[in-house]
Amino acid sequence: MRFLARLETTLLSALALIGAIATVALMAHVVTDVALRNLFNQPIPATYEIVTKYYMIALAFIPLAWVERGGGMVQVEVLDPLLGEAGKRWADRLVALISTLIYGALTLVTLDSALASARTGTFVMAQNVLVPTWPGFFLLPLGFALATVVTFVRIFVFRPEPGR
Amino acid sequence: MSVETGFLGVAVLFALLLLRVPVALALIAVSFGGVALLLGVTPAVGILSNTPYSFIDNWTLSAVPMFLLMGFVAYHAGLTAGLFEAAKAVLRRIPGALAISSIFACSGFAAVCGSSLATAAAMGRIAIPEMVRSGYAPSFAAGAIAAGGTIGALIPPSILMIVYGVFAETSVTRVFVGGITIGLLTAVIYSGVVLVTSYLRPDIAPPRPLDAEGLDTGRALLNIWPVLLLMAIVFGGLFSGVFTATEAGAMGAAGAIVIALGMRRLSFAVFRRAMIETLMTAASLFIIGVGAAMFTRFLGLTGLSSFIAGAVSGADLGYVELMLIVVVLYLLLGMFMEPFGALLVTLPVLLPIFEAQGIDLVWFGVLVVKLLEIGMITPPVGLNVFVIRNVAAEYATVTQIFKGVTPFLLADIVVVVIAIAFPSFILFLPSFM
Repeated sequence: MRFLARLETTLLSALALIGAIATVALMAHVVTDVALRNLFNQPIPATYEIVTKYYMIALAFIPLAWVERGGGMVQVEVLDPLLGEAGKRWADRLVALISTLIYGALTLVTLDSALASARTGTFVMAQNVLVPTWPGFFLLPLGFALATVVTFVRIFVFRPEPGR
Repeated sequence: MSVETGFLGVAVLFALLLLRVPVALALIAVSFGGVALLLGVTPAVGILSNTPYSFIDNWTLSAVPMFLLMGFVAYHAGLTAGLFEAAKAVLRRIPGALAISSIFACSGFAAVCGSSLATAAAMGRIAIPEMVRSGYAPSFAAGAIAAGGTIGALIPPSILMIVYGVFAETSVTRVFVGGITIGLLTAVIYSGVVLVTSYLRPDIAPPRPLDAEGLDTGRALLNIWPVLLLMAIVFGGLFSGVFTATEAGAMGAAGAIVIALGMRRLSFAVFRRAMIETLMTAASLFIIGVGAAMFTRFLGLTGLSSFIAGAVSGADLGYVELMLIVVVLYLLLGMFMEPFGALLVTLPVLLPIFEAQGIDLVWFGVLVVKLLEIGMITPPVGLNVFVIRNVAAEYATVTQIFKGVTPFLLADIVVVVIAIAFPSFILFLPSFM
């Protein structure tokens, strides 16, 4: 069990690390583009496409499981004082079940469209540069699938929310 | 027929939210179910599979993680530490100088940070102990900073304003510039509250000027160079057109990192904390955005918004009545919801109505962000109050801080009335853009 817990922590931290790399890459890419454009009138081709179709998708969806585990999802806590400890625990299980169903559905449908765009080899043209975009589509089912696992475990195992 | 489905959707949404289903997932579930009911499962699956990608695949939105990173690096690396001293040096002769300085220090912090929580936390840590030491009532000191923190989301950069701009399809730069006016207005009126309190209740806000000894105005002002430099990068770039509002985020984040490295303030631990908070905030916000984008498409299909818009124009509601409804709606939601949830749950319904009424969406964005920020300091769920409670636990309880916030809430009502009565006041600066 302890090994599994440590494995889980390591895996979730790895997701956060991927998100962090995407964030730093976004920053460095845009700054370099602004500098080259203003100093040498030579923007980096396809900056817009790479930022929106890779960095943004990665930092938005890959860390989802880590956010779920870290108690970072935004909830409304109006009824909390009325529920009591036991009631809250059951409400948490129900929420975990609903979350699992939604993340599961998102995983399936986004995997389907990722496979479809891989088959056709989706790309965009940025000025005269061909940018394949289909690999980015796989980041969504990956992020959603990991979030599904985290919320699925939460249906059965009660864990107090760790502090942020 | 479909309007009823729209109402049903809104009702189910609120039921799920009360059950504590995360806002993002509640929006996604209702939209999927609603579209399936209206058009069948295939279109619903289509929306479910397209929207996450198509919403995040957005250039303007890329400014959100960048401005977050800039603010968190500036905060954790202590780049903003000199602001309070500088404000004190300049304002020391005014009665209530310490509280007023802390409010203006919040405004300065707001210029490098897009979130009111970070602003309140940063200033609370420095200013509350000092205010209590010089005789302020702890509840008033904590209340002043909780309220002052809300300026963080008003003065650009502002994460709320970027998200609003994306949904309202309006210029983020213009909403930003409108935010400068309402942010400074808020700071001035909050300072008025301190002045009046120090006059009426010297026991909770001592009116005597600050001890000027050991305060070197020139040096104190020099110490805020990192903040001034970051402001120059962000605003200078924006107004000179060297880069866009979106690129300003990346420039600011890189600027904060370079300055912090240069000052030897950026340890790996500091960078790691800033990054963790950036990712937590960005990812949890983006998934709500995905849900809200789906909800917008669902509501568009039901015709609910145009139905309400028709009812509003049919009822011949005047501008004042309409605004009263908006203010009450956001104050109520703000009592229980965090601002991004409240913003993204309401915009799909409200934006079409306001567009139909010919209301300026830049002005509306500034007003809505102000109303949402009031929700940060209203009980029972006032996030700024909670964060102040965390950083100043030994000084005041949550109830005491809510009590200390009360005079500033009254001041906020004045700001909202001014914004509603004189839209041209808010729109004066944006009109130059």
